[in-house]
Amino acid sequence: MIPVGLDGYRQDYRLLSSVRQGVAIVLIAAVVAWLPGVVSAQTLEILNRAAIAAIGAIGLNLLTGTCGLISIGHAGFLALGGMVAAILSQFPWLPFPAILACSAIAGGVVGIGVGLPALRLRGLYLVLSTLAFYYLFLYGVRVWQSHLSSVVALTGLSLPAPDLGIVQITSGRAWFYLLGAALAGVSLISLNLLRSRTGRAWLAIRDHELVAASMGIHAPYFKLVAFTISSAIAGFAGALLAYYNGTFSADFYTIELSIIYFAMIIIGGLGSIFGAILGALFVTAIPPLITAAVTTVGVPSAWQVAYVIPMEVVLYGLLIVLVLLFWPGGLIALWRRAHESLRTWPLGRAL
Amino acid sequence: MLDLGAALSAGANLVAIYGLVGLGFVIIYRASGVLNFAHGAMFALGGYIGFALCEATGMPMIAACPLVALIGGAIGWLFYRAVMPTLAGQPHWVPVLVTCACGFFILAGVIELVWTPASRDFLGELGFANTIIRLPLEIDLSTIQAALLVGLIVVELTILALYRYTRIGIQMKAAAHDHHLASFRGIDIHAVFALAWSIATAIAMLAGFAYSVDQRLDLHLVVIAIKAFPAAMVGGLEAIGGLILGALIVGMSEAFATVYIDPQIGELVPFALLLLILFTRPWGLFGRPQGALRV
Amino acid sequence: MTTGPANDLLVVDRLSVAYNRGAPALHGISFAIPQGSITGLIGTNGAGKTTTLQAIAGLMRGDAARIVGGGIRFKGRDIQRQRPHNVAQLGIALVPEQRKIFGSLTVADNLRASGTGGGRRLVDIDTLYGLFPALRLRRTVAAGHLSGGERQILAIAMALLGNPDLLMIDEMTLGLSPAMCVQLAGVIRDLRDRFGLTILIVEQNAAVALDLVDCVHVIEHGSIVRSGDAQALKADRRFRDVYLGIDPTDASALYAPGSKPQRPLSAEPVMLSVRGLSIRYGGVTAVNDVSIEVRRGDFLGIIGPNGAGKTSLLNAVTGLVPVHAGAVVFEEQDITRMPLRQRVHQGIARTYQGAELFLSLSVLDNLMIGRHHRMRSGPLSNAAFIAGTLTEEISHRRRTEEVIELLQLESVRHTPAGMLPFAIQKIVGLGRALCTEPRLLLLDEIASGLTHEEKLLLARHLVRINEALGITIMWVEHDVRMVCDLATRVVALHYGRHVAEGPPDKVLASAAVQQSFFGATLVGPTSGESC
Repeated sequence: MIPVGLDGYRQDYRLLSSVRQGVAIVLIAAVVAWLPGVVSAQTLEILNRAAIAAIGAIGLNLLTGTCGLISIGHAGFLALGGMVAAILSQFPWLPFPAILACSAIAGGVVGIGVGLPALRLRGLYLVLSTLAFYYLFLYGVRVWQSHLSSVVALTGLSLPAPDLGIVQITSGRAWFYLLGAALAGVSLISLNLLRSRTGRAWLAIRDHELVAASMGIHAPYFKLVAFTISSAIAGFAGALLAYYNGTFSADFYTIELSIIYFAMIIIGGLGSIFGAILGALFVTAIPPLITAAVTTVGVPSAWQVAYVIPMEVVLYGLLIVLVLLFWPGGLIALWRRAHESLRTWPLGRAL
Repeated sequence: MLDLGAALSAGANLVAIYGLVGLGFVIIYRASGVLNFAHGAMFALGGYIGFALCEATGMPMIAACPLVALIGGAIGWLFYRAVMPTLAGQPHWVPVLVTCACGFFILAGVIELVWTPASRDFLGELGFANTIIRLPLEIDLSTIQAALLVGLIVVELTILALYRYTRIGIQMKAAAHDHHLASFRGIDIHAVFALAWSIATAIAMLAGFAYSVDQRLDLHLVVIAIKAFPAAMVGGLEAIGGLILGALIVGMSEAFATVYIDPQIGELVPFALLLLILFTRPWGLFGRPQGALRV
Repeated sequence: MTTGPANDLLVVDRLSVAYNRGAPALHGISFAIPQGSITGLIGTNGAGKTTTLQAIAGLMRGDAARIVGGGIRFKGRDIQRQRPHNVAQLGIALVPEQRKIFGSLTVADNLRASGTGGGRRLVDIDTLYGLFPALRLRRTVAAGHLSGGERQILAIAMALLGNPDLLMIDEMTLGLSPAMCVQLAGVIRDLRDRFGLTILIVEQNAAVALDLVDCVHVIEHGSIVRSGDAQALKADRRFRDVYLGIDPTDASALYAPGSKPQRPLSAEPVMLSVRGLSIRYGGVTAVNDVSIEVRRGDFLGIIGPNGAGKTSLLNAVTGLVPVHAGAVVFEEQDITRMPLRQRVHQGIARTYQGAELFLSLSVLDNLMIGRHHRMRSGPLSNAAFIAGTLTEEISHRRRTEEVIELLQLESVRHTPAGMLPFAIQKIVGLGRALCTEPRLLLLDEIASGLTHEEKLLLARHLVRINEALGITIMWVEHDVRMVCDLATRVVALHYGRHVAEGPPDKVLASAAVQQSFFGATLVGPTSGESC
């Protein structure tokens, strides 16, 4: 019996379990920070978009992967965040961080409303509720957009470059650092949630809701919390997306976008924050990679629009179906297996 | 009064479409417990396959119809058998995502690849005269639209009779109720479910063909079919009997809103009704509460 | 009757079945069923009886278990890879446990749905109506509204429509009245005599089984431990003692050598009072006007054959099932209708027969869930992990560690619960309940599925929990020996009724309890087939 005092357990809650891990993280951070200088502008664009997608994916992962609730209205919350950011950005005296916060809060508040049916409906019916929300909201946005000036109605509302006071985010490189920080922040929040009372409650609800209730867990409350936090993160991601695109237009937020976010968390591995990031990177990188490969081969761009783009769409679909059918663990399962075999090399499967 | 006729005509058309697509949706849900989000794409696919048949062989539309239905049945059967048994035992949302991916991505992408997304009209022979029939209250329906309405009633009654009186229908209900017990009693549940999917898909594809001949063919058909979900929900996903009423409510509401208020508002109506029914009576007008409420 | 291979209808050959999470369910069992016999598979809860029947009847993808070794031969043909509906068409009909029928269909439709297509017909629907007039009377009634006995008859009738050569019935008598049991036993013998059916029954009520069958196989922990002629086994005293765990003449306390608390319990206040409780579901009255009092500090055992209503009683106290009549009063507060979620705040916690852990969480996290209702930090504080959350996590972690230490779970602290052996899962379930700091701890067959050594260890834990921690325990259990050794007071239930109460030795010795376990002969003598 080793007497353990307050310090003994506190150590368990440190995010870094050893000095070696801390050094590793610092090194990785250094490499990441050095990246923008060496990669092409195209690659930087992919990384930036992947970062934004990862933020949205982490939010969806909390809802679906951890708490087990399905929503296909995710694109709607992205649109909500983008719209709030677009509107508020027209007021130059509002600081950028405040606008981001407002977008997140808007997402959260609407999320409460959308999540209310979750309290008493079965999972499948919840899916339909989120579908209805998506269509209603997007139609509403379209109607609103069409009543703005005719130019805006077609091309969308413009957003200025984010202004942080000391610096303006205009270059891909500046975006890289900003998004990196945002992603790190959202990841940290998710990690904190998962290792605390709230995260445990979510997992318990997902695994065995009745027994969770007998342990005193108020399932409807925690489900609503999951919805709120997930849609707040989505609003946040949507705002970043609108700023990054430079415009906000309703056409961008299709139902397929919702499904693509699902593809990210499934391909990456459900329930895992790192999996969401991996999945986001994977899914974001596919179209540019295919386009690059196809252009290198020499296919004319008219052809590309007619054939390559639909083929990418089919490929997305096939990937989702194949992963769900045969490989439900996702990339993270592959990663863990690779990790394991590296650790036990050269003994391989003997262990 | 001109407006009333227009609203009723448009409404009748929508009722027929929402009814036929929604029927397939309900059949699949009742049989295998899956929300088939690829169903809308099947509706569109029916149009594309039908057009291709007529253009390739020159046959009139009326002759192509049974072929389209048969092909639809085969596709539905194949789709189920290829995909669904592998998903047994997985959480409920996995089939939702699989069907979403198949419908919105794979099928839509394939349609775009093969036929391009351009809108087109039916240029072949019909084999009958698609004239306007004038009904009381100044309702104008084309022959095809009237046929779809009649078809909806006929199909619904046939399905109800199938479930009530035939052995295969009773076995379908049994398999849906408890598929383990059904298996132990000698019922091949995958064959039974595949049959349900094939019937539903055949109906949807035939309806899609008829609709696109009457109006026009493009991928907008997928969106139209999605609005059938609210019709199925309002009627009650577990109850085939309520479907016509659901289609009636949703179709007419949308048509009246389109004509009397604004076309954009009209598009919203089905989803607003969906939210309304979900918040007030999620099991639909004719369903049972246990079907929708959490345990 | 000879049991040579030529006469064996079904041969199970070194069959091994594993649950999908890897835990083994059956360890290479072998037995044969001769043509025209009635065979019984008996054993306690979780021994593997139902798994055996379902493996024979066919497992599908998506089921909880799969065959990992060995074979099953029916009429000389391998069937272990066949899907259930194929096995049914080959001539094996399984009547699953809980007397399942298609509740939303009428009786007539239930019969119509069953049965294979053409070919030789064992019975048709009219013959069945003749055999079972009750079914004809109720043929337009929705099957869900039938009584328990009627449902069982319907389930058997449905199975017969499949033209089986082998009829397998799982837990036929569970929860039914003695009269119904007699009737069903008569039906079974009639089916064998009239139609030449070979029958395999699974029964937890050994008394009923031994009177009905020709030949018995006893399953324990996924292995067959004893086989033999039913009459011979019934007369074998040692078999009864070992298997049923009761020997009134053996006074040595196996589990708690030495002390049993001698405190005058009648001085303690009443903590839980169950008054005139009745529970009904599935057409069966599971608990019938039962009244029990539990005083603070009690270590109360509840025994009875399966179907006696023990688990239903527990479920009512914890709020899992609605109560038909009567009341549950905890520390002067009527909690009969209190929602499930609030009972843990009152100080009531329970374990589950199947452990029911949160499988993706580690042992530590499972235990911390027990602390959930005493923690206050909300999601916002959690998200930032600021001071409030951290301090709370640490202080509750310390309490959890005390439970880990008590139950010796240190080595599996961070293991995901899904990867633990079943016995450890049960201990973790106990720990999870303890973490809620209960005043009343309800145990649901916590010893089922454990080996003797594991039971000894568990006994030590339970005694310590009751005596050192002062937690009142109400324990539903099938292992009568263990209960009588540890508990200070015992209540015996039978067919949902309270039949005896008092110190363990007295209860065990009472005629009513003896009869509930060994039974007076419920059915007539069998035709004496031996195996």
